Amino acid sequence: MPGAIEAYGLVKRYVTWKRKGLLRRRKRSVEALRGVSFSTQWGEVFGLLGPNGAGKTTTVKILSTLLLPDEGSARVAGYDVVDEAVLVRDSIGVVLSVERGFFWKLTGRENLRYFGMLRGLRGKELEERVSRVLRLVGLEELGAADKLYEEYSLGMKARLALARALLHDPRVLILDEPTLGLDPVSARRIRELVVRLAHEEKRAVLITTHNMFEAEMICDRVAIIDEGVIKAIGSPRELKAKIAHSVPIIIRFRGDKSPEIAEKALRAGLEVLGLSVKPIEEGYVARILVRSGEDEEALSRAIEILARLGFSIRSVEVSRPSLEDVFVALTSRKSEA
Amino acid sequence: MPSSFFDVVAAEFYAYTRFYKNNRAMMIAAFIWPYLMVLILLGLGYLFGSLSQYAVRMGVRNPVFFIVSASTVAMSSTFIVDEVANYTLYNRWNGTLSYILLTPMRLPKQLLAASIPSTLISPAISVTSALPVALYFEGLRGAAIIAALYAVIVLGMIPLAGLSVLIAGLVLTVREETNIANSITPFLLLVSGVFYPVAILPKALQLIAIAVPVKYVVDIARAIASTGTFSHEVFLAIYALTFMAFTYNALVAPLLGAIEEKVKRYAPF
Amino acid sequence: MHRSSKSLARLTAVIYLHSVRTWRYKYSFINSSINTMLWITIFLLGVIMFVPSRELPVVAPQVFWGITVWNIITYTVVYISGWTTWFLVSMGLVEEHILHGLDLPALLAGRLVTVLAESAIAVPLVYFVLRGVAGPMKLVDSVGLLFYGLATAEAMALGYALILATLALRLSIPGPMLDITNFILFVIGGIAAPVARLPAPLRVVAILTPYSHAAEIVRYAATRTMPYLGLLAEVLISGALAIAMPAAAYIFYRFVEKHYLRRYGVRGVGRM
Repeated sequence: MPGAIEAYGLVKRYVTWKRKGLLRRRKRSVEALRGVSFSTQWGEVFGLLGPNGAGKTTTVKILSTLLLPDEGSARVAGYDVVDEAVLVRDSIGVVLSVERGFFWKLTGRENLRYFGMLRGLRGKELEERVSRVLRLVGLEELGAADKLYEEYSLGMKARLALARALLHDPRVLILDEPTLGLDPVSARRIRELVVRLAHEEKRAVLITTHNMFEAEMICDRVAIIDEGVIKAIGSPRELKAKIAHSVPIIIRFRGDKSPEIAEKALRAGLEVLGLSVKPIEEGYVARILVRSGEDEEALSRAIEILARLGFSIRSVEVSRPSLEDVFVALTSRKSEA
Repeated sequence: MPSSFFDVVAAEFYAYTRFYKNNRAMMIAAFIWPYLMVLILLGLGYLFGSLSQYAVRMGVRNPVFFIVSASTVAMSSTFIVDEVANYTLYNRWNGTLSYILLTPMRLPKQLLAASIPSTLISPAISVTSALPVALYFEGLRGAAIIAALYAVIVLGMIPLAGLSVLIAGLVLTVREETNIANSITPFLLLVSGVFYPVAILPKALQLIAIAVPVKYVVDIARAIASTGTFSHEVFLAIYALTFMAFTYNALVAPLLGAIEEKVKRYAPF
Repeated sequence: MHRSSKSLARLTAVIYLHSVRTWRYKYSFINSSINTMLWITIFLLGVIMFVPSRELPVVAPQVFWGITVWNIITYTVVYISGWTTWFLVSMGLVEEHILHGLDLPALLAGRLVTVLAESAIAVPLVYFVLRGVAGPMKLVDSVGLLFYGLATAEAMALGYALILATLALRLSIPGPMLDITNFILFVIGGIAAPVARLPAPLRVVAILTPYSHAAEIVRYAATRTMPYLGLLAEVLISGALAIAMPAAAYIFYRFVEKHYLRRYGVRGVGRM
């Protein structure tokens, strides 16, 4: 079975014109993508993260056949996005924007009926599928299926956009910021649905987002893109490990024995990069610096050592980096994002 | 600091002139439009009949200059009615209406203040476009006629101010993509006999015409474009317009509060 | 799914969409019909002032049909090319339709539902006004030819509107603003008046104006005014143009889609 999405060295340049005086214009070429490569698997939620203008939407548009790459190639569901665009379009469900792309004077159901017909669906099958996706995204239970689109809240619009993407039962979902601006309830509903579609129904999901909390929560793997280049790729845990070479563990404890005994025992029992034990108001505090990825094991070992020496543990802190730290560390234009 | 009526007028004046500065194509279109009207009327008239026939029936000595003036009137005299509604719609599309309405001023006053600059500038562009023809046929007197025409067009729009706000309110409460009441302006022009005598209209329309301010603008335009002087009839028409300006706006005023309340209750932003 | 079955479903979808939208925007639609009728009436009454009374029975039907053809052409152009820039692009619907496999010209051709519905209201109203001024008149002599003339005019207008809509996607200028020839060709291009009535140099312009051939057929079908180039020639030329103009528009759109839309993206959607 081919990979769900495979992108090889995608390059995209835009030509812009800079006005100089009344009549003269100067041509300028802007590279939006500079050799983007990645692949995603079936049953996986793959996140594409990056600041504004990083190349996320350009990548999404190339993968959904709306834009032609200047260099490189991409296959979606086994089909080439340039030469087999029609087959790609039949295999994908796309959310390009959560607040546009529908007819205002049609109801949610009528909009879906229309786009379903464009996919070749008719009669009973069309009605069944429309009702099914409306239920799936929760618009039926909100009583919004037969309301005009112009009366929808942003959350409802986002749900309808996802419903349309699912209407023809595509194997690949490409979602460009599907929770942008949504309230927590609507965002959670969409996140749960996305994970279920990938993990239970084995669809492939490519999602772009600015929301690091969301990416960390639902993405099996993420790629961080900036200035048209993939800066890092891997699971959130792997990426975090990449930027954090050391992890500080802070243990507060008390007991009758001296802190020097505790420090000596910890040094002997752990492989540490740094260690200090100091008295505080009520007992002692141990600051232990261990290698990234070894923090969980080191923590349990340290607790075991201190407990064996008769110390009682008051609190424990492990300061692990978040995906947001990874994002900030890897992208160059943090303030704009 | 609370904004005054004049602050809003000044802000809108700035926005309107910037719009034309940055959209020169629109400015050119505004100059060309009256001539397209003239082209159609004169072209068809020439193909199917004769100019002399038109001059006799209309009682004008220079039919070309008259048609140019009449086209300017047709373009401008009802401008305020569509402009207030279009201003409202345009800002709703842009998402700027809510911000405009955040100013402490009452809605009707706000809409009127906002439409004043365009109501003054747009007819000015239309009459200026007629200037070359006026100068060609009438010399400097033509320029004076054009200036008088502009003053009369602006005077003719004052009685329509209250009506304009009513229509804008209606447009806001009906959620459609265009100004659903913009057929009111050609109706006002139709009964006012802009290119023909009102006498050829059915009796009922002639009676309606008596109460329509545009008819008096057309009468004045016809008189001054034809003779170049302010006759007794012109002054009578000016008195009629002044009377209508007070009466119509006084009649409409009580309705404005109701429409404002309806708009705010419906919150169509 | 079978290809023809999919095409039928798409055709149904397009007609469904435009019918529902026309109904939902009924106030705008009815207002627009009345607006059209009133403006046409204003000009019509103006034109009648030029015409000697004895010639009115002959001239009135000619003017009526000239205006009808122009109304259909103009509204086709405004409703299709204007809708593209002011609505489809700004609402992000161009890309959605590409994704759903529907060519933009097919979606836009569906706007004819709205155009024809509007003309069906406005044109009879204009007739009643004209009859009120010029008296009863015979308007149709050959229904078949009249239908053929109007249908070919509509097909040509569709082609022209699609070209303007496609150009608007490329040039960032609203389609109707590109239609600078509308009023000029109405008068000198053989739409408003029979080509034979035009001064000699303008006849060349009229013959080069595609719509004039359809208008000549309509006038013949209504008042037996013989076309300047002869009836058979006009029937053949109109038929050929009615096929060629939409076909050319479709080819042009495909070219722009491939070389512009898919290369640089649709304006106003996303951040690229």
